[in-house]
Amino acid sequence: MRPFPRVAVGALLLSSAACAGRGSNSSDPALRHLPSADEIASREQTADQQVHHVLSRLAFGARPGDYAAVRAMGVDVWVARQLEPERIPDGATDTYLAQFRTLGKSGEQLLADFPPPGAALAKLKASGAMVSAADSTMLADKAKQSYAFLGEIATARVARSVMSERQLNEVMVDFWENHFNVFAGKDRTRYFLQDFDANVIRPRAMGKFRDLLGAVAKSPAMLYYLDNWQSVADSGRPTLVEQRRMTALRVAAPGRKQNPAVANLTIGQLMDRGLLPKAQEKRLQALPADRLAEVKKLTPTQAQQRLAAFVPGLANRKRGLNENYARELMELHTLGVDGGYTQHDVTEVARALTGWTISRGANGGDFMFRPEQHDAASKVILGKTFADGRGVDEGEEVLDMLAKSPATAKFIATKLARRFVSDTPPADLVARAAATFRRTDGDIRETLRTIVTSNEFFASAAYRSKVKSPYELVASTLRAMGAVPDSTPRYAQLVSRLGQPIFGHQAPNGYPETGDAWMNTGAILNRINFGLAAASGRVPGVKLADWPATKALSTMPREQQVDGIIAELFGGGASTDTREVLLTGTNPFLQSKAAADAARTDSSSMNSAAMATPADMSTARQKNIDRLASRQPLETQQARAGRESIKPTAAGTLTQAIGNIPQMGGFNQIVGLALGAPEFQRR
Amino acid sequence: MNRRIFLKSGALSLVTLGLSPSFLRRTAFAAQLPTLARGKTLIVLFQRGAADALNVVVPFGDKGYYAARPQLAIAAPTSDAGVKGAIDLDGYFGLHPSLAPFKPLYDRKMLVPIHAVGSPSSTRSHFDAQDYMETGTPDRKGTPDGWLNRYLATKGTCEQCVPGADLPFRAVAMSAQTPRILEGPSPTVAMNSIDEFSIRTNGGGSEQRLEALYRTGNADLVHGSGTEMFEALKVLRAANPQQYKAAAGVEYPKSAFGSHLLQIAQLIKSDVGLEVAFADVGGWDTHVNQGAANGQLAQRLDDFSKSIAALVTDLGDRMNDVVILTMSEFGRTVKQNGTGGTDHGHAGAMFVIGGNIKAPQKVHGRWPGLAPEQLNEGRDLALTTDFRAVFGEIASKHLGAKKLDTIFPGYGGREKEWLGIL
Repeated sequence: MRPFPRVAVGALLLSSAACAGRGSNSSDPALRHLPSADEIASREQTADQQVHHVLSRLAFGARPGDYAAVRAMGVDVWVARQLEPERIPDGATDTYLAQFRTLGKSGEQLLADFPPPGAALAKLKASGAMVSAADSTMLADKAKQSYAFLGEIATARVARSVMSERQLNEVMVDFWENHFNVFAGKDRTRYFLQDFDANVIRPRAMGKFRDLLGAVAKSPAMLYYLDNWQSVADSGRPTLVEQRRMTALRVAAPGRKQNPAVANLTIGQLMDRGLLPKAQEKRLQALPADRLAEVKKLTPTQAQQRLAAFVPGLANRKRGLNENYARELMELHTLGVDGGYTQHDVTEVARALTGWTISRGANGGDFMFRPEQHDAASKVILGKTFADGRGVDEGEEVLDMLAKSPATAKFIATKLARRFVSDTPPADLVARAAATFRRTDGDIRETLRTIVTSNEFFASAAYRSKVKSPYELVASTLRAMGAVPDSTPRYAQLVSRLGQPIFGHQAPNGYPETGDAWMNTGAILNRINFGLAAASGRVPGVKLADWPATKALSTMPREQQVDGIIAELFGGGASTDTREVLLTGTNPFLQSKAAADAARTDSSSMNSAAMATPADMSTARQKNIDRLASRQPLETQQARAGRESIKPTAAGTLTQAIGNIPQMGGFNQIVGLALGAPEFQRR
Repeated sequence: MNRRIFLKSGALSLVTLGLSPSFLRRTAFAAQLPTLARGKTLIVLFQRGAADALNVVVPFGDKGYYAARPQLAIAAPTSDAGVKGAIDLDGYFGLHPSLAPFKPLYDRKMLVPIHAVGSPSSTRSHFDAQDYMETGTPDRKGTPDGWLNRYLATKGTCEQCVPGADLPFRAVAMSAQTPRILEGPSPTVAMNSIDEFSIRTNGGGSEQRLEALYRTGNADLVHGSGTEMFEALKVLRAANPQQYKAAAGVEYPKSAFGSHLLQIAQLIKSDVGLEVAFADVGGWDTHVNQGAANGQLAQRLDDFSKSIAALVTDLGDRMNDVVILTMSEFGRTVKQNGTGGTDHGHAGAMFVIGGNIKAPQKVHGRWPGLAPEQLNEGRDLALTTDFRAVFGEIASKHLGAKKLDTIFPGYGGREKEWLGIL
């Protein structure tokens, strides 16, 4: 590799990063588990590759200065620190995010501030007034406003992924929010997303899986998205409240055995004669008058037989069981689709989770267990019998069982390895990660540690083997360009346009985690266009003039510019073809067949040979191409590019001279091409 | 390495070996773009989320229907102007009132409803069921490619085999991501809109350089996809589909679905060789407050039928070469659930629409009935037609597919099960 100029090192990755190696950090609790020298020595990746690798896998790419900082700190120290995000100060991010007005607001507050259009309409109808044209406009405005805060939630999430020092935690937030997918477009789900991100996922992204699973199960976002808040015991099945009421009716006449005459008395007669215990009589007196009148006519035995009839609504309930969450809980959140459960288990788990709802329903609030909705009858779940009447503990125990299942360990380990290592993760690594998961009672941090310190993680085959998701592409571009995030919804729109709207996946399975799903002709076109936009000042917060590399490189010869950009954006690694195209400012298409054949014998020459020289290529143009190809410095242009942050006119003279070389020329073009290059699509 | 990458890299390594597959010849003579092609087109429309087939094609002649759905049932056809009843098709079945735009197509023998059709798999998972419907291999999750892609691949990707077989817009999905049904070795295009399909720079040079970055002969997913994309750009620019406006009097709904169908029509009219088009439309997972003649499902069906009817009218005589096939991963429970909706069920309904329909005018597929003992697992519409019988017939008769054993492994071309639609 050619030498490249050292780019000015920006803010160091960690404020406490004065440390230089493992030895000096023995007192730091985050560094208890550093790999041994032998383990480190047996890695396939070179030292520089490891730096690039950890920054593209455990972070959303490198910012200016990050390579140098991680290199100085040591890859393993950096990884160990990232595994303990709670020890990493992140005040700057918090300060920055304080400007987002909607962050920190509860679902109820958001519902009040951005009322859904239906609520406004209902209010209008209730007023009894005629709906005027102005009202219609008002309603349309309200409808629009009621989605407005979504852009802020999504943009804040991008901003945090870009800015946060706790990069691995942010990667894990992205992972879990995709694993526990919720969809902003489903009715009122959007009002609960802020809570979901800030209070449910983020604090538990590296904790115990069971805690995370439980928090998600009780989150208004998930309860609403997968309908569990509305799931009620089916007709004919007593709820917990009904079961208690039926218990009240279990009248045992005292002394029946001693006195057979008492056994034939009705409950009314028993009451009249004061033969019932006071507590029981009190419970009966609490019944509605008509019910009590009926009960009084029956003997205790008859009452026992007709218990269900005394529970109003039990036989013909309007609402009932909804299996949606129970199914996805097992299929997508824990066991995996082949995790050994049946349709019967789905129904039984749904029954166990009846009554798990939101305190104010669609109007928000917190998790609440409603005994009057909970199916109290006994159940058999995954082969285990649950006695009747246990209430909320039953659902908790179901979650315990699911979190402890080996199928869950394997499912989560596979997904993590796919995210961090490769689309086809090595089976042995998955098995070790699953073993860690089981051994540590579902400790996400330790499972991750097994994965990201493994030799498989640092294998050559893993290096740059993952295709960036659109979200990762946007975040990594912003980080690479040292962008200062902006607070408009533009980032959310960009990610959306690239095919991965934040909280925008309708189905509960989340976005795909493998590259083939993100690579098609339309997608790659959008990605390239995004790179060009970033380099030409059309992505908010990205200012090429302020990019440290611009200052360092703009007056350098082109060769050093190209190598500097390759170092900044690709971590130093680019194919010879890519370097050639960036370097010469030209490409095989513009070269004559003969020249290409003569000049190059590598694989790409076959392509260049295939590209006929445009017949009309003028001598003047060829001359300029030759000039570019001779790698002369282009000071004037670069200086201007640096100053003006890339207006189309920046390359005016050159553009006029060589015709079809675009107006976007020189330094900013190299950056645009590099951001659009195959290397930058991978991590 | 999956088959798609393998095939891509296979093609690319031919380049590096100095051999000359079709696309290399084409780029060598860049001025000679592929000749415009006009042939048969299949448009597949996927209703994601499991559309409630019983309220789409309403079995108003079946007593069990009304017994199971006291609030959700669509009333029988009626002359009472105050009631929005089903639109009568054959005295037993009717269309949901929001499917009114389909009735004239049915009357002109262009539209075939098929009932009790779907996947023999018993899964009630959206994702599995969509997967099976798109791979064409029920209960087999490992299938790497979609059945439409296998069709494209079996027909060949070399010019010698079938002229025009490797046109870049041969298979287009109007979506950000390649749908499962089109995944596989044969090249396909996925895009949200035709507009988006251009490199946004201020001049031509960046585009050529970017093309060079991807055409390096590297045999991997990223380079392969990039190479396909630059091919496609050239073809699209030459054909300029957006010059074709909707026919006079045709108005597509302003929805994403309507816009996608408009653009499919433009691609067909510009003769870019569109053989397989795909679009999907969501919102069918009506667990809660589904509504009956009005409400959630009615709104979805309104957009659905207006968009499709606009497409049919817009294409005019070209419909003689077009078949539109609609599908959804499964039907929904016969009984309404406790939250004013329906849960995941089993068999569903499809529509086949074309200018060359041979089938008699009726609702096709054997009706299994809705009495409790006639239901699948005691709760869902039972299945009487395997979706592969419909797919196979259309692939074979409309597109001329030969290797049905490859397209539907383990099933093949069971002609006896075909419904005789085309």
